[in-house]
Amino acid sequence: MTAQFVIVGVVIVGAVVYVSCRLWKEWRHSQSGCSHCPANHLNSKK
Amino acid sequence: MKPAIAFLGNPNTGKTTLFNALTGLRQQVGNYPGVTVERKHGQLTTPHGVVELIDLPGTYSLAAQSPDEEVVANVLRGHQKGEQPLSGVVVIVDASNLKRNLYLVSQVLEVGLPTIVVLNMMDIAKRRGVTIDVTALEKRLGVPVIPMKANVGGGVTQLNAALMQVVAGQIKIPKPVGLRDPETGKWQSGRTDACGDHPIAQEAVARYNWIRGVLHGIVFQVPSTRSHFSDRLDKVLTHRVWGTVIFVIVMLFMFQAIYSWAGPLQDMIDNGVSALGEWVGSWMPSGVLKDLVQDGVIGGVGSVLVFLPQIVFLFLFIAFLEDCGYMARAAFLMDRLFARIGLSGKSFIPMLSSFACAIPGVMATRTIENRRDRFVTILVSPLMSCSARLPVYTLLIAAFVPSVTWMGGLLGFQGAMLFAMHALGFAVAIPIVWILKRTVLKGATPPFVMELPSYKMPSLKLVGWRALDRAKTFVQSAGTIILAMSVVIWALSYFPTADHNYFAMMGHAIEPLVKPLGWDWRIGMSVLAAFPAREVVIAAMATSFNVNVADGDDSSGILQALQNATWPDGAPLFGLAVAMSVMIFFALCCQCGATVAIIRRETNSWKWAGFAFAYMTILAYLAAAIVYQVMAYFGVGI
Amino acid sequence: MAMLKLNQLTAGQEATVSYVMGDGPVSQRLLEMGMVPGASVKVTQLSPWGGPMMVNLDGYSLSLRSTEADLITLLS
Repeated sequence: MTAQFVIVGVVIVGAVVYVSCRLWKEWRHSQSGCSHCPANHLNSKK
Repeated sequence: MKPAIAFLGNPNTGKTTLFNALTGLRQQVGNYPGVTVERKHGQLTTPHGVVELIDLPGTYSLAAQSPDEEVVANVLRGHQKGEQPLSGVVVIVDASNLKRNLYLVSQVLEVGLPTIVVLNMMDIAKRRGVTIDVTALEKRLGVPVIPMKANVGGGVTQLNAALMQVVAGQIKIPKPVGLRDPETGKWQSGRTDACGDHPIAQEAVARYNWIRGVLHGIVFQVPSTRSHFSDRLDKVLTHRVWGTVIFVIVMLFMFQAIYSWAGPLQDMIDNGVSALGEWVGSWMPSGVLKDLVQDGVIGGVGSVLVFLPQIVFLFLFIAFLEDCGYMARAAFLMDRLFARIGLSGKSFIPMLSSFACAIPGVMATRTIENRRDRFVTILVSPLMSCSARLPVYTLLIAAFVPSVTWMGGLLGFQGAMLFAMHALGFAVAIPIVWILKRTVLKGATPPFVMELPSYKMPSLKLVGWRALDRAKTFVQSAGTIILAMSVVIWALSYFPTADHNYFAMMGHAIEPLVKPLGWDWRIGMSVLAAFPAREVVIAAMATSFNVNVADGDDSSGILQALQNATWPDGAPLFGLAVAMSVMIFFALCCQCGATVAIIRRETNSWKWAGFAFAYMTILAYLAAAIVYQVMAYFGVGI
Repeated sequence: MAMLKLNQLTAGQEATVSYVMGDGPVSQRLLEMGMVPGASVKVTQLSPWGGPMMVNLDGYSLSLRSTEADLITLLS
């Protein structure tokens, strides 16, 4: 039981960290001219 | 440093198709520092080493009018920050429209770089009865000329060989065209009487005189009495009545097709997800870990993944419309309306692209010359319903809109509803543009001078590739941000106890805020949780309405859970009114972190990003509240 | 002799460009796109009530509004 709680705890913390990082990255992204958003591939205008 | 070669040409010459054919998937897309112009790079491996290829935005002239064109001119002259001096230039010209395309060539020849001319669309030219003496053209221009077919058949090997010659320094710098007196700076326009004294007019006249000389006796046009296929098609597609009717039918058909074609594929994915849930349930010991895997991970991600086929279909349609030349016709049709509200038909193209995703839509506004008009277009583009809103619409429509079809299933009530949700964003954008153009972004109505490219069959490979690429991104986001958000939401709704959980506590706190919309706290929290990515709302609903993937005997678990959901007093939660209120909120709100970020980047200010978010949220809230309250007042769909 | 302008043509009519008035960005774009003296234009589509018109300019389709077509003087 404790083992299960440990795994679940780690997963949750991981998820929270991931979401925060993602939002942080998006914010950084808006600051600079990076490019790795998926949409750039779509924009294959002639 | 690797030698760099730039690709440039008029818009619609097939430049990007050729660039993709040469560089394949090894491309890097970015921005030039300080300006929001896309910088697209690819690499080509040759026996002489790696060559850097640069795909420049399409331009008619090196005398820049838009930020895009300015970058092209600067890159060619080696003045662009973030770009090395070039080793050579490839100019792609449209063989079926040689005269106008040579205008840019005449300017490029004066830059003083080794130049290659690619004569693209030879097949289309041939079909129009145009024959070109390529050898003679090569001699007159003094640079290598490589003929090529529209969908890049032969010619690529020849171009590769020519590119290697550029790298090896075997291609000489072309002789300048010499249209300008080096001492007085006067253009050799021949006539100063009729065209006035404007240097602009004189330059154009001089260049077109030169072009006439170059083409004299080497281009033959068989006079045809029959009008071209393109022209005949245009008679109907750009007709002020029929054209508009056809546009609406095309859109209606698109949404109905998304609905009916994607259905079977969706069921397959859905069954797969249920099977996985059951399988996991059969061997995992019960406990907190099993709950996490079943409800948090499989329930959350699975419920979103089901919508993959619809999103792929939508992207296929939009990519097809973009590549076949129809977008310019739609812009032509819309110009009358757009001129009234203070924009030009050109602004309609990014808006139409935004139906796939607002991010490429916002970036496509770069072709708009005037800064204020561009900002107005950016601010309303996210109002167009993107593919991420699709799951919300289809789920709620499937659950609460009766499935009636006419004309043998070709047109249905559900498909029409989906179309109406997409039309809503556009209908709301019109008054918003009108207001913006008269208040914060005041300005005159921009001119509308636009080329209508000939229709062509899009390269199915390219269209498919774009849809596939989108599918990859969607699966990726399901496996990352949606997965993470599902876990977070699951955790919030699982602890401290299932009945008294954090998710419900937060939900009850915000319930008064969403009550006027007819929502309960579960809907409110699901919508709030969707800010990082819209698709999360489905996962959040699946979790907060306690959908159990494992014990559903059929695949429509979330659909039934919504239909059966009740208020604490037992009254049904959802009806058509609440479903409409949720859909309308979603249609108009700006629940997308990536869109806010791209607006910030493209306008270079947080002010506009914040403005877009604020006005859209207020608008969404008010519209949803009004629709719900009115429907409730008349007792419709409660 | 009154000057004939592009926006005075009806659908199906053909003419030769005499010159483009003005030196603003619109005139520049029109010139670059091939509206130079001697070019042949044919009106292929007219939309009344302020909509844009479509012309065939030396073999390709170009759309412009009446206000822009007003800048283009034709040989009569």
